[in-house]
Amino acid sequence: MSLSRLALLVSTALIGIGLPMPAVAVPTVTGADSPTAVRWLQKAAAAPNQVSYHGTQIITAWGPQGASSAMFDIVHAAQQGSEISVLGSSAAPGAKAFVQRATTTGAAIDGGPLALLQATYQLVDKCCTDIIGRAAVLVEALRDDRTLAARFWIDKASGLLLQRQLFSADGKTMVRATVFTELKIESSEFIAHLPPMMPNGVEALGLGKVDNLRSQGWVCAPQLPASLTLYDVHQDTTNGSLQFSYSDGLFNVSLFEQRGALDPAAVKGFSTTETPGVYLRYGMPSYVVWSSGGIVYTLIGDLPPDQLGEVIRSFAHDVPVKLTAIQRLGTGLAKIATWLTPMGAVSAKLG
Amino acid sequence: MTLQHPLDKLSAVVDGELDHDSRDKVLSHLVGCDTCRLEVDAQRRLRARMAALEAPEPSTDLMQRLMGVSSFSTEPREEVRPVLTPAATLFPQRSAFPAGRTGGTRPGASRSTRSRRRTGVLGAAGSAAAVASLLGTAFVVGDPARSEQPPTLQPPVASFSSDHASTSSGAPFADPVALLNSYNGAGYAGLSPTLQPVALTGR
Repeated sequence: MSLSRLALLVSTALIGIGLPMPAVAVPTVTGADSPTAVRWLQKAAAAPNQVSYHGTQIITAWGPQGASSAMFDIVHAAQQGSEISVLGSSAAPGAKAFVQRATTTGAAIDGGPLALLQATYQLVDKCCTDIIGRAAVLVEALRDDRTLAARFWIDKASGLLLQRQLFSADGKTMVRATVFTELKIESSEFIAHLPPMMPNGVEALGLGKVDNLRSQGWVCAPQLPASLTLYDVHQDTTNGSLQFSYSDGLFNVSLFEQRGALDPAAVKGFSTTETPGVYLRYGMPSYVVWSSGGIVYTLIGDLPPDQLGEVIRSFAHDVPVKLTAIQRLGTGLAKIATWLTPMGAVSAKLG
Repeated sequence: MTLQHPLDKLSAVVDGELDHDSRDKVLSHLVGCDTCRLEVDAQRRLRARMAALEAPEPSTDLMQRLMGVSSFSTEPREEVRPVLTPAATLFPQRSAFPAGRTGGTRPGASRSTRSRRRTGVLGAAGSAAAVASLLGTAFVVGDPARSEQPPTLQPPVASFSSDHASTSSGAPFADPVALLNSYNGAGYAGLSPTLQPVALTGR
């Protein structure tokens, strides 16, 4: 076992064992957000644009498939973006990705828009702690029923998000964790000789085009179950697909829509669900595909399984039609008969 | 010389239908038997008269009426005309008048029955094949998956993963797992596969 793999397993175990202790709502919280908690989160959202760093991060997700973990080496340049390398993975050795510095103005914490986080959860400042040898502030997000939804550890010195934990609806079961195991703040991080960014053909449409898209037959509800809210829309001009971004401030879901019907060959590697015609693959993130009304849906997100099921059930699905052999023969003979009649042939051409 | 008259062979000797030995025997008898010689002479005269007569031609009206009868044709005719079975035309030597054949009275009767059976079997097999073909086509056409569905497609999941990661607003590093799920084994995930990892300098 390689050293990095061992480190990954140990870190995963530490995340799972050491943290569920105060995983219930603190009874002293009030209904309003703690101003200091909001300020710390705002600082954390802005920090990646101001601070360069080099660190090792582990992401772990727990679900029906078990625990899935990945370890990354991240070189982040405040003015450029992040170069991410996979560590300790035999599946993708040497894999690298580069994420450009965000140009949008909306603040976000680990991908979740801060505005939605504030709107959905009550934010509580749990004050001071320390983690990986750095002084930090702990902020918690609580649901309306006072269960714990998330914890954020924010570096006091830099404002960087050091660790984030997400919990399922019971407030006790951790479903996802993002943890820095090493972090070094760099004063002048700069990544040179990066490959040119290829235009990916993705165009931001914004929420202003939503009504127009609906009139064209696209399905884009402003809200989905699990408190998910539509906050952005993109279109890939290369294939015409639309991407609807939903979030509750913690969990992020992208719903892709394309005109057509789902090719059965596309669900290889997916498992069937209790809903006929819906295929799912759990992981980091999870994938769900189905088709309905001439649209193929691909949902990608980090939702816990229960909430993911709620979201899936909120959509219409094409249920595969099953005919008996006799019914199928009858249908076929009727269709052939229409071909043989002059009016049938004409009507086919006329559509 | 025998006293027994070869009466059954006299007409045959007139017609020249006897073999060499039989003919010698009959001629030897005729030399010594006046009765038989007179009989042979009478038959020779009758044969000569018959040969002198012209064969009567059937009337035109009769031929036209005969041609009007559906069962009468100069072309080979089959009792069963199977549809879609060209095999039936592989036996043109069959009698043009199968109705004239009566079972057991002619040497070829049993063969004719077999031929008719074979024709029937071939016809039935051809019909069955046609029906099976029609039903097979109907079964395929009746597949609900073929009923006016829009074109099928395979969602580009890897590309969507990259989009999901990179378009999560605000964060420089929203979902690296989704981004790296689109990694194709060379270069940078989500970028052109011809690009290779680069050295990091200047930091």
